[in-house]
Amino acid sequence: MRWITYFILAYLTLGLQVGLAPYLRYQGASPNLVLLAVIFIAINAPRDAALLGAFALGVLQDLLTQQPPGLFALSYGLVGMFVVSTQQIVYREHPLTHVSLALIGGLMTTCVILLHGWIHPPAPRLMDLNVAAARISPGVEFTRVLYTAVLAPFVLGALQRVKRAFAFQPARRKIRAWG
Amino acid sequence: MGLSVLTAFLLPDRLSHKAQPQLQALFAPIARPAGALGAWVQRHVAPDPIRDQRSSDEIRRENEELKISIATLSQENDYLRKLNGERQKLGPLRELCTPVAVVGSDSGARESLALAGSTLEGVREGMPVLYPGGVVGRIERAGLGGAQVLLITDPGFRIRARFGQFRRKPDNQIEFAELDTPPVLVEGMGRGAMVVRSLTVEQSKKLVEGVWVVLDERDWPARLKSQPLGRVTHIGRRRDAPLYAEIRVEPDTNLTRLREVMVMTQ
Repeated sequence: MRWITYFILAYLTLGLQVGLAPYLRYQGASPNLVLLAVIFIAINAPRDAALLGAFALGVLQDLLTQQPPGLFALSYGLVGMFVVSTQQIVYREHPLTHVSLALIGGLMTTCVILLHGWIHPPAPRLMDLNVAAARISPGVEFTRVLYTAVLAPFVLGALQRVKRAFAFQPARRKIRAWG
Repeated sequence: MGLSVLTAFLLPDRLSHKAQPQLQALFAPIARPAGALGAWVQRHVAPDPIRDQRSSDEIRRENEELKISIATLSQENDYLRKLNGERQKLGPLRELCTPVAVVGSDSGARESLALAGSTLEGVREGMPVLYPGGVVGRIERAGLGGAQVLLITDPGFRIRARFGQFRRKPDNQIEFAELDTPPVLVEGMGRGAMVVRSLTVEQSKKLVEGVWVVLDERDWPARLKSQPLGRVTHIGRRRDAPLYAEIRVEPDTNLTRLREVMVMTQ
């Protein structure tokens, strides 16, 4: 994989995520564009590069959120492992593949975020004031999953058109016939 | 992967955030134009509904600024009288703040803002962040490459506040009148709103929609007392404790769409 192109994609995706998220919100949920980039890398790149690329995108996203570092890295690492395992059995260009992978990837990420919020709520319970712990809304997170899945065919479809720039498959050596 | 599990689930947030590099400003070249484009499209395609019925935006903005400056000045006056002679040392609130550009909003499931301002500009953890409409939040992390503000609407944000209304006095001046309700704990609930869950239904009967919720936090600078957090938009009952009220509070502006904020650096 051509890593310089990967970093350009990561930079653009994260920039668009933090810049556009407030304007793309629906019912409090903004689409997860970085997850779509993770799926694109994981579905096309060789196994090791795909896992490293997915994990690194998570690490970068962790830098720009209030959540503890490692949460997206872990989520995208898991998503990367799942998507890589499906490389041989899915049709990479098909919109249905994009939707289903975005749905499953989004659900995996949501599960990690909600599990973390359940173990470590953003604000703990206050017994003396009769105030329960504040938690991340599962409804908003599931809306985010659906929203991301709806956008997946468009974003992944566009990325699939420029995948040559990433040089996912190493150039084949030409065998000369002698004699 | 093991390290990410350690930092995300096992280490306390304070420790893991310490090791986190602050690179928010790095993404500004993409995030700022993208945000400007998003704001332009949103303004032209689906502008935010104007809650205030007055026709002129200019009058509204001026009115908001006046309310805030009156609240600030009246509190400042009390504070300065108590300090007897300290008045000359303090200027208006704006002079205590540093304007900082917003890079973008939270990339995850929380409500925060990435700022381009760094420790080189005097931005430090714990500093209050304001905008012309009131309080934005508090600096949670700051480094050489940027800073992160936890918004008042984030589920992890809690602050003491009280209810009141801005009234016009007979001499045509505006004053802030506190309502006869106990101080409350305002919590962020996500989706651009806050909630008050510590008042009983009986106590909440004194409230109506549109009442202001203002800052009354001992741990924050005294000069910020009575800075607006938002307005009451809905009063209902708590599902888990029906004798208690659930009061929804919303800032006048969508805080995630701010393009610039004021960090109280002094």
